[in-house]
Amino acid sequence: MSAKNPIDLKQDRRQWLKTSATALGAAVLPLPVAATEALQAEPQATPPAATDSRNATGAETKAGARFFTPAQHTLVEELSETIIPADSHSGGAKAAKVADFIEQTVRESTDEQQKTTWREGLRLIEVMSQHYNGKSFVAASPEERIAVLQVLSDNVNLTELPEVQFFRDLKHLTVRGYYTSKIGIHDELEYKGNRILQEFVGCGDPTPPTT
Amino acid sequence: MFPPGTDNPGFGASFKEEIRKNQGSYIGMGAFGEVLSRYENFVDLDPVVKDKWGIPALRFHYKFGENEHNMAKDMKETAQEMFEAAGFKIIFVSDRVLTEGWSIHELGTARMGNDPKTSVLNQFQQSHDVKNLFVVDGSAFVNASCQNPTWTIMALCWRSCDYLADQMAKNEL
Repeated sequence: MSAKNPIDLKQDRRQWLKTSATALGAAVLPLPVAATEALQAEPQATPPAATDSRNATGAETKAGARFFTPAQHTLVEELSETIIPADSHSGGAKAAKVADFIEQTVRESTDEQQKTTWREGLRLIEVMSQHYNGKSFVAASPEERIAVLQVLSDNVNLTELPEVQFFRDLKHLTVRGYYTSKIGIHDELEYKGNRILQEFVGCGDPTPPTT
Repeated sequence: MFPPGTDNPGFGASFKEEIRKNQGSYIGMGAFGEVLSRYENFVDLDPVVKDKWGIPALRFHYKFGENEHNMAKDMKETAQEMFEAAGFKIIFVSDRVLTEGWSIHELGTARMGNDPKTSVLNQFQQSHDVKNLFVVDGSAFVNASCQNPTWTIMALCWRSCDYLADQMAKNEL
């Protein structure tokens, strides 16, 4: 699966960070967190007084407080599907609504570092996708998406890099979300739950002793 | 049942298939170890931070020493050897040591001993200085054992209470 000559991420990232600086405007790079936080704030501002009204219904409060923007949510869907794709055996992460699980986990996390990792990670994935494929991650083909994540997977031990931290958390939460979903447990792993054994057949010797 | 899939390398179709193929056969091992007492480890009262009743907050000054880290390294190697000898395919090995205090087994700080100069409590968890004070929890420990401490705490408490009852009956307290 991994390339014969894995990409040197530390070398490569200098290039794509440079391209991103020119493409997105220099202001984005020195203040990546602040910039994405400004993006986050936009949808929250649209429903007026929805968040400070104590009488708001659960659904309204939830919608107002979403961590991912709709565009980010789509990106997370495609990222998780690339980690665990649908195949002939069962549905993938998208069908299992893993992005919703990740949304809730990150939103409810008390770990500010994790929130930063996700904001920054989603941004860097886009930058990488532009660098390697010349298009956004969502617009890329499955093969092109794999190529982006393969770079991170091949360099998974470079934990000091924010995009690698992001990949690790993305994979961790996708695995957790997927294999705790109905599709993951029942369709994919065919878990039957605790069942009464009518007869204990044991294992090993195919010919039972004749006594 | 739940596959510890994050530790499997890679992602995508082959990753998914690998987990499906091997489900039910994953096994993991972690290790516990004794934490020796260190003179540098102590707790004190925060001069600034107080709770809402005005009681100063407790501050922990607690670090693992060389012995703990060496033991962790040895545990990792031993576990790996055992798995290799048993013929397992090893997916993932980590020598990550959990942060100090992670196990929430707070022990020590009023260690027991015979010498009032180097200990707070005697063998019956009775204060050397204040004879009618017994500290019957984990404070009397002189180390943090590699086992969960509750049973030892209960055993020590039982023993100290027997002594306390005996001393009271004799009117010596």
